[in-house]
Amino acid sequence: MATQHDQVVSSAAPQAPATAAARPTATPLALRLPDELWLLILAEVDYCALKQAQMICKKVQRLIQDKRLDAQLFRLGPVDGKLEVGMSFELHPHVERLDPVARARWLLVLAKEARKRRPWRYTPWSYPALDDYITSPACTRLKVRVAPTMLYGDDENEHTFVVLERRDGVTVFDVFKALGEWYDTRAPRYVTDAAGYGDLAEKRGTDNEEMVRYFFFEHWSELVVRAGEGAQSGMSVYLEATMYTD
Amino acid sequence: MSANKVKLSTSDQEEFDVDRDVANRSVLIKNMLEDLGDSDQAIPLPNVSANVLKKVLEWCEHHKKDPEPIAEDLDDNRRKTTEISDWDAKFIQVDQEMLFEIILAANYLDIKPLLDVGCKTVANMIKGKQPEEIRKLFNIVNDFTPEEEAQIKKENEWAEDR
Repeated sequence: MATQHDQVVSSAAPQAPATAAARPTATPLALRLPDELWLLILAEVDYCALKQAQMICKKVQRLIQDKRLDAQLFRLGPVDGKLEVGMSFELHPHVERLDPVARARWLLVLAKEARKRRPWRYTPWSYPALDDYITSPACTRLKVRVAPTMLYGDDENEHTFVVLERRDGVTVFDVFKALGEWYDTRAPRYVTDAAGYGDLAEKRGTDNEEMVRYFFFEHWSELVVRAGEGAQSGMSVYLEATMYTD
Repeated sequence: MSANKVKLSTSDQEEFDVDRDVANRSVLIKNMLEDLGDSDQAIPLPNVSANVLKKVLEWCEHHKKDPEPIAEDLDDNRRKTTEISDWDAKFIQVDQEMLFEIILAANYLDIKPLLDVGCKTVANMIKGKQPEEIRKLFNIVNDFTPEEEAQIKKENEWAEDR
């Protein structure tokens, strides 16, 4: 009977780890947990804490490369197939807290670098988060309203939003670049006039760099797939994920 | 032995008489009992020591009336961020060695909600701490060269000022 039990045990839990006490004592207790269990623990940790945790040691750094953590780390590519209404996307933490006023200078640098076609690595934005997708899961079409409605009124024109389309998924870099280029574009005359920039418009040199000082961005809208265009009253800026089309 | 009692035998040869509905919290034991049918043989648990099993059974006893978890997609389950209940939080206030032993045992015995409590507890220990603090906490040696460390730090400095 005893042998029969042993068989049951081994077939039910083929990968059962030896007890921690049975392993060499030189390895710290925490690192004696099998990788699978560490992945379950890391699955409970958010983006920023995971990025930080990479610095603990090589083992943890290696574990964090596991594809099961892709969604948490904004590495998950576009979902296969059609999006469904109500499906939500998580916004990348770097963008969630993006303060365009504080970042305006850097965004301009990025835009200028883009014009000079220098490798991106040498911009102030050169850190790997640039390659992260802007949402999780990645979206292939993203509309960023960059100009506050209080300045432009309710009319949406080419100067108030940027549409990003990437078959492989829109990245943080795509959004930063778009913002940079937008800030580097001169606002049309009618905009500066309509906004009451009498004196500034006089100079004819008024561009977004100057205008951005008057912008007040409250927050980004929730990234939920909507049936139609969502009303954005009271919101100065939004990112909007739209239907994924193959 | 009565029909609603189960005998469990630990790695250090200790035997526990346990109510069947308590033991059934472990999917491993539950499946074994189903395979074995009515038998008064002790179920061997070669990966669990007596002091750990005692603690795990304490959890099972408290949670014996919990509804069976609905079979869901594993990924969905994992992403669910349910809070740790007050009782569980108190239960898991153990030293680090016991915490990891409970996680290992919950995994081996296939007690998902307990594994979840253990993993969340370790995750909470990691959150909001600098890498150096985490190393100290878990007694982990920094095996990066200063150059490697500087590189990773540079790449992730944005995560740091969160």
